[in-house]
Amino acid sequence: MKINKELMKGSTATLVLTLLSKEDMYGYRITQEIKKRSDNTFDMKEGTLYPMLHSLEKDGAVESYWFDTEEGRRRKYYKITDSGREMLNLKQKEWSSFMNAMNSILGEECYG
Amino acid sequence: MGDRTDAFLDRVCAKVKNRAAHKYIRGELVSHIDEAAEEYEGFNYGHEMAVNMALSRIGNAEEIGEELNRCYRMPFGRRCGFVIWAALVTALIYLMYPIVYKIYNYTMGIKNVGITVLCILAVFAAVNILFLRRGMIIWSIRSAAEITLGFLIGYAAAVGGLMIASRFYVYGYYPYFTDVKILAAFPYVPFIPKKFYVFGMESFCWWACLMMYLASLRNKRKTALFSFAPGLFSLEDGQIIEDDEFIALKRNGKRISNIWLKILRTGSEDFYWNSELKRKDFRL
Repeated sequence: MKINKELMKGSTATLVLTLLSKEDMYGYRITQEIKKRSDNTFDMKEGTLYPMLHSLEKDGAVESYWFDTEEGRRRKYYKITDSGREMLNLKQKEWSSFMNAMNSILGEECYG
Repeated sequence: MGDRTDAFLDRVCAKVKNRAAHKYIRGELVSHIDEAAEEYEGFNYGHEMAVNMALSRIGNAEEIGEELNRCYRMPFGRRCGFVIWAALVTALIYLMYPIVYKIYNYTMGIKNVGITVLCILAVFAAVNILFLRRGMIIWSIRSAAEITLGFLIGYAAAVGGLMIASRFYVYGYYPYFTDVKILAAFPYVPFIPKKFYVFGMESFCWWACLMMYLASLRNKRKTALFSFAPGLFSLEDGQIIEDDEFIALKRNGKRISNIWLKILRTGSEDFYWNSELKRKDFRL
């Protein structure tokens, strides 16, 4: 099932920061990981990821560096910073309280 | 890079006013498109088909460009950025005038030259942060008009403020250097007499330097004389501008003499090296 674009928008930064908290990644890999881990549910337009990455970089949540692979490809890797980790922490807390609130309301509706 | 990819990137970059960011954006998106296309080629699609599919997956170029543009907006907004910048610089020049005056007349110790140098660097840093990091300015009648308006506002604010402040010290003289007259101050300006010193010689030199600096941006290059400033104060610009310009010049089919090109390239490489060094060692 495809997720509404607006719904995705608010949570993409959390997804990206979560992935980057595990390891440094480049844009294409991030999109593929999001798709794979969400079992194709979060299949966003890949280009939309970059403005978000750039604004995270501007906010100091991530840093970037170029890396040349052995196959001669240039990739721009993103790395989470300490303030990025703090931001992720906050976002995770925010998300879990949002989810609890949603579940408690939806739960009543769905499970009666 | 294929024509379609190129056209796509042009459409993205057309929306991003900050030309300094174009190189990074292009590089990153090209790498993405190439990898996506390669994935399709792995499923036995032809190269062109694979690129087309990769492009359709990446999304709308204009939307991406607009979103990216939001990340690289100029401070104060594009409408009055010049006015505010020019007003700030003018006010700063007027406030610092007595220091320059005293050095010029040997009434201030040589140690104080350092303060002036720092202040001058601060002015260039402000130029750099406001414009070079954020985006390229292109000389136009409008920008010239905005700079003039900014100058007048900065002049009025600085001189007005100083005159008011001088009432508490020695009227007509700088509050912090009571032996130096406020530039263009009473009683000369209202009657436009013989001594109409709107610009002292020193501040004129500053303005000339700044104008040269800004004029050099007309060609989207920095003059070698000032290339130290972005290197000192910025993280990742300068070198991009030259590269971008070379691409643009090639596309436009304009001819530059080989010698000139070589000089510029050498200059930009040196500058790139300097920036890289600064960035790694002194991340600001």
